[in-house]
Amino acid sequence: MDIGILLLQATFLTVLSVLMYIIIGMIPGTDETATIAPITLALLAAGFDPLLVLAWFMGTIVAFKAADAVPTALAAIPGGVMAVPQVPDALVARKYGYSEIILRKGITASVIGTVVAIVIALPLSFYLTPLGDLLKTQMGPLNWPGWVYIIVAGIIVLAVMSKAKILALLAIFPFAMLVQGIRAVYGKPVFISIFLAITIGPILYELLTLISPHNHHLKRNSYARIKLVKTGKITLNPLHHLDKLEVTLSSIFAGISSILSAFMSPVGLTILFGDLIKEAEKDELKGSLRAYAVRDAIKNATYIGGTLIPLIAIGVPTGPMSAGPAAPFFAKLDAFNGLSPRDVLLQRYSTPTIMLVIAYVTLLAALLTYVILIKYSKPLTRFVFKKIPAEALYSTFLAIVLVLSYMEAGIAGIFGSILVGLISATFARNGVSIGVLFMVLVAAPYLVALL
Amino acid sequence: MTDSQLYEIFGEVISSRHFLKAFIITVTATFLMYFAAPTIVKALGKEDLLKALRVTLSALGAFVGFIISSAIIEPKRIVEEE
Repeated sequence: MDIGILLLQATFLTVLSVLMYIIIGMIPGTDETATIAPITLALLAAGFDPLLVLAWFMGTIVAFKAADAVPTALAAIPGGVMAVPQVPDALVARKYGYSEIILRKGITASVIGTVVAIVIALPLSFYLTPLGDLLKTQMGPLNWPGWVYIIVAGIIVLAVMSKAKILALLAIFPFAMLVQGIRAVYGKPVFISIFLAITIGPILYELLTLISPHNHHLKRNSYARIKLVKTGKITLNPLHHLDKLEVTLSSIFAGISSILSAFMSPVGLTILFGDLIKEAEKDELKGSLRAYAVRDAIKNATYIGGTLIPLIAIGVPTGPMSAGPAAPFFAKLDAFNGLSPRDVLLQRYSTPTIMLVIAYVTLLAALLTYVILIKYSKPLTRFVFKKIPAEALYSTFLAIVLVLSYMEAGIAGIFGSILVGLISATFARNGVSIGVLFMVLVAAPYLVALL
Repeated sequence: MTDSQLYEIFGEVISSRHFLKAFIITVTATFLMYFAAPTIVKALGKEDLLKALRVTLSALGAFVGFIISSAIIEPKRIVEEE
């Protein structure tokens, strides 16, 4: 394809994706995987060019990870799971009347995180490509392909970093058995529906509680009250928003996180490094402002690094990001004659083309997101809170999971997804990182073979 | 609407009756597109891509369901401005 046309198409898709995901990112409580993966999958399944879908995807993650902090800053309500660690900092800022400042610090730091991650992770992932071939050969005491060792190591690290360490470790084999057991009932190694069932699990669990008689603790007698803070006009000049130390810390931690996220959890890294920075500063306000900004930079960096390194260099999803929101790129699809979009991507395009397109769309997405959020944070937040009902959102997730489960395994698929969802929710609600479950799904055949 | 229908899930207040309504609308729209997919794909002359396009068409159905239910259901949030 002519590079000019390719860039033009990529521009169109990226802009569309940024506009759409700024809104989705702001909607309270939207799970990243549940909102990103199905649409990516729908595009890939229709046989759209993998590079163009990747352009769409980069627009999605850049916009989502900057926008989810906007309602956090303006109303202390996280726009997604990744923004939850930012809530305490936003509350400190509100106490001192610094909400507007924290808002623009966050948006600007997101751009820094994006730029640093693309500069580091994109060349690195091509540089590491020989490693990918090595990781596909069988080796070691268990005769596994190399990448399986990495995933299993990742599962253990993530389990140990979970809130419920023992339960997370205990969950590994039972959950692998559940996955393989269900696949045996279906008679085929399905991936997508089990994957989405894990994602939807926590919401499914709560919704099913509504039809149980034991739902008193969830009852409310009034609508949710949301206080939007006052904001003025904010300048577009990014130099006004962060001080030198914040820029330095954001860049350093975004760089480290973009690499670590190939194997580690984005939420985990955001909490870990953010808390580190907060605790190093004695002044409560300064610590919170700094931690909030750095967390925003880390969020974007982990999503970019966590996607690109496994996608380009390794070829298998080795971390919670690639096994989560980016998973559709690794799935074997009929539209690509049973190959994964990732393999088709690397066969169809040369390294310079991929690098050029991805660097271009990512920076375009960062710029566009920055301008829109700096100018329109307040009206957009108001729109989302006043116009988008949670009922419609939850129903849409459920409908997508149900139809894909039905497609993969008929009625049994629907029951299977309910089962997987409820068990995932039980683990997740009790402090097991959901990334552990995603990664066990990928490694399940190897884990069960050990028993 | 009586108060007893309101529940809090993931920090959001929802009405069980409205949820049921939204659920029926989106699931109907989604499965309608799923089962209509063979006909649509035939009309487009892309029968060989049925399985692939089915996912996309179903997602489109879900999206239509989302738009319809967003239009008819009121969000349970009271926004106060400082």
